[in-house]
Amino acid sequence: MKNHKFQQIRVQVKASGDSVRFSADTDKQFARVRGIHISMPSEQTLVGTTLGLKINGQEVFDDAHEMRMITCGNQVAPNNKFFLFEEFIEAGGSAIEGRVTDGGTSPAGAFPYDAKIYLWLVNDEPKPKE
Amino acid sequence: MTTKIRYSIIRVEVGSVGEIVEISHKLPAHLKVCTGFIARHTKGLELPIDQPEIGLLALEFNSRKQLLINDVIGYQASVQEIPDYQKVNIPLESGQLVTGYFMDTEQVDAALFQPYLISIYLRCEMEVNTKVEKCTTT
Amino acid sequence: MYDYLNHIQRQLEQRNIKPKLQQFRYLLIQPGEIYYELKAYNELLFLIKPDQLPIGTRIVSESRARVIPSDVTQIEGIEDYSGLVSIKLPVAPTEQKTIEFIQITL
Repeated sequence: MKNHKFQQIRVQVKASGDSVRFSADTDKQFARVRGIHISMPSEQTLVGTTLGLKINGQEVFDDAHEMRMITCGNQVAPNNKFFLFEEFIEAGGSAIEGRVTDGGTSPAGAFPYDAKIYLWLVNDEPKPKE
Repeated sequence: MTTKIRYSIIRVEVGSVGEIVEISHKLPAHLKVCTGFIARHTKGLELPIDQPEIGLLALEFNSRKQLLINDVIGYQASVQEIPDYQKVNIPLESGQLVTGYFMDTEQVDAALFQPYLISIYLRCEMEVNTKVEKCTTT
Repeated sequence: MYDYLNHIQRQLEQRNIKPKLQQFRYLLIQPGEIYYELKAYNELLFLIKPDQLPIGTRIVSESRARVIPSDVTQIEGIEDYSGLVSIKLPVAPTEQKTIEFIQITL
């Protein structure tokens, strides 16, 4: 049985300040979403940009949640790049809905760009809370 | 399975050097406890290096019953680790106000100052109604 | 004139604060001196006549920070401060003045 998968969701942002809805389904071979990481083309595009996220009908982040709160820079070790969810977020083919809103701080030449959202899907049991 | 964690976000706009901005934010009634907070500069300032202090924050909970948070807000020039929440354990009365202020402490060079936005994230847990209605037919 | 004592009493009840002592406290403003500090740890200091302070005075404390606005004489509300309360006047005063607070000891 496979234990890990990093599922990528790409969201294209075409212009400064754009708010883009996206939807996807989690891979049904994996039981839960363990963490999330977002890759943006530059640090400037990250400034003020927000991500709203719902998985399986449950709100995970509301639309005003900054991406910068849930992602990190290039100098962070790969093992520490993911924002880990403390709670059980169900995968198993569940529906993902979200919205990316550009922060409006990037120069015109930055557009269009792809925000790449990585979901870390696992089949491990969640560790009990300390 | 229902998730319990919700993030309540307070936005503060600072328009001028030394400005004092009052905070008055009503938390949703279903949030039961605040388990973490973090406050940070969101956008506006573009400084070449990290600044340990750009302002002071004070937060009172449960409609002014408890002053629990006094914090210094800094500026991070580049994205580093994922920000970690300061752990707190604040029981919340239903639907009450979070009040306080943010004050710009005039640390940013006047030539570099621009109006900016501060975001305060409160990680809260909501009341989850897991009671199951008993069947009344016999 | 607004009943400040009644307002303070009601507010303390709403905030579940049981005062140990309520009294007046005074700050003497000296000519030429623009910066003052008051220690109000485990206390609340209610500034009952903010128009006694010049417009632009900054008051900063643990719980509240404020700049005395230009329309201060038209405002009825009073505010409380606690912790280390610092008061910075916009210009050095030319004469002595007494600023009045209602002090609530917790």
